[in-house]
Amino acid sequence: MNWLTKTINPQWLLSLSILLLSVIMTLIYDFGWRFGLPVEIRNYVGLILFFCIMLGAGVGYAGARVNGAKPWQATKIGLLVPVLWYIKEIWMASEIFGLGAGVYTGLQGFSLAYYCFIFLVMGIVHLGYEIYRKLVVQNERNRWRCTGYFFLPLVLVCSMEAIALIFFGFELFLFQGFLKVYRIIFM
Amino acid sequence: MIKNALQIENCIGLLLRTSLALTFMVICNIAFAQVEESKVTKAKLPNIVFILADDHRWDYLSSMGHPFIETPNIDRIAEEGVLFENAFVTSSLCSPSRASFLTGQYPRHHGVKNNFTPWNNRNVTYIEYLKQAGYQTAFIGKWHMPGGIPKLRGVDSFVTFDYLGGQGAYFDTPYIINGTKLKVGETPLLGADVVGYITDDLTNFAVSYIEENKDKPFALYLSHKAVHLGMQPDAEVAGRYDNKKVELTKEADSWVAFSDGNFKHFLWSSLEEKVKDYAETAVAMDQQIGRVLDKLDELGLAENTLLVYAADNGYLWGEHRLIDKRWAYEESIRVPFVVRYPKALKQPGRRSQEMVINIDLAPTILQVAGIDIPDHMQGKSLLPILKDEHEELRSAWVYQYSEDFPYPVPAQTALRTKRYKLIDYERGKDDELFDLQVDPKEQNNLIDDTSMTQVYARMQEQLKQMQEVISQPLPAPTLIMKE
Repeated sequence: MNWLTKTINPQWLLSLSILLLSVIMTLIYDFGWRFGLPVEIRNYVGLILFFCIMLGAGVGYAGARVNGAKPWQATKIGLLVPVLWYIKEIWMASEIFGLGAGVYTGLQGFSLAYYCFIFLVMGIVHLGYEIYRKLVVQNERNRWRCTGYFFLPLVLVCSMEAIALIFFGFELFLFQGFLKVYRIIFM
Repeated sequence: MIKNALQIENCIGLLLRTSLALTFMVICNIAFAQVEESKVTKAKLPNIVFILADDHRWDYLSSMGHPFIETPNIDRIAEEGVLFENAFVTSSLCSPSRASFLTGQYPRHHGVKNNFTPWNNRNVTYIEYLKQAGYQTAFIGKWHMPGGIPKLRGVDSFVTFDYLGGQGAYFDTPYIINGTKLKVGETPLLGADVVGYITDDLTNFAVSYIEENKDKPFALYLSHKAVHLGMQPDAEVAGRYDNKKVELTKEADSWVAFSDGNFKHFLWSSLEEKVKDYAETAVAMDQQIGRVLDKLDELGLAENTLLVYAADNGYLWGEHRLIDKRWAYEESIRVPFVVRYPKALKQPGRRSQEMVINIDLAPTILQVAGIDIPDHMQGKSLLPILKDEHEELRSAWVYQYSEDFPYPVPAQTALRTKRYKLIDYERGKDDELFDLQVDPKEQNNLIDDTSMTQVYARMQEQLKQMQEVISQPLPAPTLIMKE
């Protein structure tokens, strides 16, 4: 443990732990059935993996902040698991559709919604942590003012979607708009 | 002398008048007989009813031994007809498969290769031939091909929907009749109720159509939304299987629908729960199929009606850790295919092991209707099999799936023989070879098995040859009606 804290920046420790947990859970979840692992266990493993992917950013963010990271640095650390998962998805898509179209799949509504959600989770954790500091560590300076940027991706994506729907009559990121652009570029 | 002359004249006149009257009577008789004959011929034309389900896989029937699903009406068609246990689609995706059923052609010829490439309305459907032969024709239900709703030639009543990109919704779908869009709740056919649940609505339209056309030869194409996502049964059936235990295949788990690319299919619940929804939606559809059967019985039309039930593709429920269709695995490409035709059928209740593919539907229907099968149709008629249980159909066929972005499934071509399957992936996955006789679940890829080298080489060669054959340009259809 001592070696770990000396080798790895403590701010990254929780995020890396989530990453390690995700890798182990992925291996068990994807291949456990080959070794006769009961479905009940695989179901639990799947749930853990799901929460790592969806909430890992929030946990990583909290770990970084507790260990002294500033919000911007903590955000980068929190994004470790989501970004790697995203790259894995793009890599899988690239194998099927080629690199260009594979990268383009990363712009689909699902991926954008995922990032909006991840930032929301980190925003909630950020808010919770700031409240904790305000109430418990009373002499700390209030950093609430940067909370807003966690909601920016959601506002941005929803605004673009709304503008496309209202002014151009089609949705942008899920199917119609997304596929139209795909056809123009790749077909 | 004069008297004699007058008598002769009268006699000749009488003879002439008699001959004229006789000639007139003979002509009238011939003409009348021809009209009668034509009436008889028309009366003898069999009615055609084709019912197409969406995503209904082959083993979700009680007659196929499913542990809990109840499909007594589809089973009844099988008991009174022939159940083809080895029926497949040449491309396991809604649009290409539907176009193949209609045209009798592989996707590369009708052009609907995936959910992008539009339907070309120069394609000739079997319905067009039936119309030309004097049938009343109706297309009722899901069209769902890229390019919008066409003016389908040869179809008298075209009742469909373009709601939600052509998918329709299980509840409150607005319908379209011959291009005219209706409001939610408005009926496209007089006398047919719109109750709000799509399977019931489409059946109401079908039953009403049959009643309306009972005295004429008719061809009905009834295409359900069921049992496609989101798999919603009606209120009567909903919850029927809540207490049933769903046994997933060993490689699957409850959350496999959330993993990797599977989440794009919106199955936001455990796999077991979704399987129950799927089964219940199939039961709700089966009940409505029962109404069509009852109507044919009630009107005394069953004997002279060719009835076919099939699906556009199957569905993977966690097999190979996959959801959806598209792949060349059995669960995806294999469909229910049941044919009832009392007039020509030998041994009703028979189960055929012959490999049937979706492009066989159109030639079968045309042959039953007494129409020559045109050269541009690539399938084979099943009529000889219906008449003779020993008839052999084919020993191999080719499956093709074209890329359908953004669904993460590689483009693939497969050769399916009675024993083996070779899947050739364009990219993104290693090719696969399965011995279906010893490995029906396709778990052991034999592509690198040295004992299979010869089989592999032979399959590769056969696939190449068959691809060349099915890719040959087809003769242009001689029949194209005015739109």
